[in-house]
Amino acid sequence: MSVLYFPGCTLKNKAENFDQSFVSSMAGLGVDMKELDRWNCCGTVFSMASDDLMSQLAPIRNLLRAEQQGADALLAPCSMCYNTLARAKHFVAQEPDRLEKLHSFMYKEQGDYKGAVDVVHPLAYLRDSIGFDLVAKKVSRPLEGLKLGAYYGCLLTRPSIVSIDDPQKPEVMDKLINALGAESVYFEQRTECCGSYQTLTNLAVVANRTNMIIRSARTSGAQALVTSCPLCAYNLDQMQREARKHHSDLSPMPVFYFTELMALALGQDWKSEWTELHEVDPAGLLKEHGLD
Amino acid sequence: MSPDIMHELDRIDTLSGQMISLCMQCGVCSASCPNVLEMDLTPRAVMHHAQLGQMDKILSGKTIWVCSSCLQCSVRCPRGIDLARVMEAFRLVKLRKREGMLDPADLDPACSDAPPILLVAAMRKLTG
Repeated sequence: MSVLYFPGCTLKNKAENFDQSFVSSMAGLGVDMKELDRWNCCGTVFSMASDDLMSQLAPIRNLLRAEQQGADALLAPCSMCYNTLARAKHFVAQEPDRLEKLHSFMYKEQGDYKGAVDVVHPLAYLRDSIGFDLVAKKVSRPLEGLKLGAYYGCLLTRPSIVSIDDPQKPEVMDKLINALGAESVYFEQRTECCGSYQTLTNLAVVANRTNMIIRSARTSGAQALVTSCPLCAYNLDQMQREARKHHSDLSPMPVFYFTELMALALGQDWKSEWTELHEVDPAGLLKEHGLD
Repeated sequence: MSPDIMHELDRIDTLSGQMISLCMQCGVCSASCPNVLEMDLTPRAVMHHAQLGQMDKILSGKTIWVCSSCLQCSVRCPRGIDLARVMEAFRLVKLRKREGMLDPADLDPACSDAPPILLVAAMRKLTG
């Protein structure tokens, strides 16, 4: 199976730790993966208007290129990219007429989009194509003693048609955490929204969401949160300072990308540049468990 | 219901691809919404006002802007209504008249530190 990687804007920028740890983890697991050539913006948010075909152009163009480059699966580790690409694929599959119009906008691309490439989230790929048993066997530095809350947010499991797991009771990230030797902790807020793009226009909404989510995780015994979305990571990590303005007793909690933990467990070194991309420094927690 | 109200309701139904008349006012949407405390109308109330053709109440309120399209209501609605699409349709009724748009000039300069995923998502959602 030919696998291509769709990084998206933020993994090449404010979430380079996500990009680097994903690429090195997949290499560590022996997956032959290349970055999609000439990728463009995924579309970021899926347009939900029935008449808004233009917003589907960006994701479909990426899928067309992935097909032309021979991919069977396009791996999108960013939850938002995954969600937008996967929903766009379904949107055009529903009515052939839609694709016909999109093709007329993509006349400079060679060939037509056939709908053959699968949009796959790496967590689903780890479960279905590699298997958590094999992941566990490759772990050389188990994350023993770490109690981690898997934060799914919205985009990995909603809407149902693109959900990578049971939309109401997801467990795929918990299984990865356990395969890496850490302990996953169930907490109530794990599939509740972080406030998304409201950070820019309605900060109070996000501050409240961050407070609720971190409190919920801590009450259940988690020492850190794990996510696959750079926007969730920003809201939960960087916006803790905003949450603390309203809730002064909120103590700091580190937020990891699942790939950072995977890289660490597979024996790779934690990079000091990654720490700089975290607001709440995870170094203390890692050191406490002999993982520095 | 007057023809005008029918026309308005029809427009939202068409834009969202949903049938607002199916809503039975159970309130599962409001109970599921993580941002309901920040709203002036609960999601259930939005559906009720829409059924009655009271579109101005919805369009002049906060709720459609506080909705973050997290889809918790959409996956739980027992009538199968995708409420997030209804909210998006109302936002677009405003945005397509260039009302309620996010103006980059109003943003806090500190947001230049924000990740592109945030800036692009907000601009796409709030400029139509």
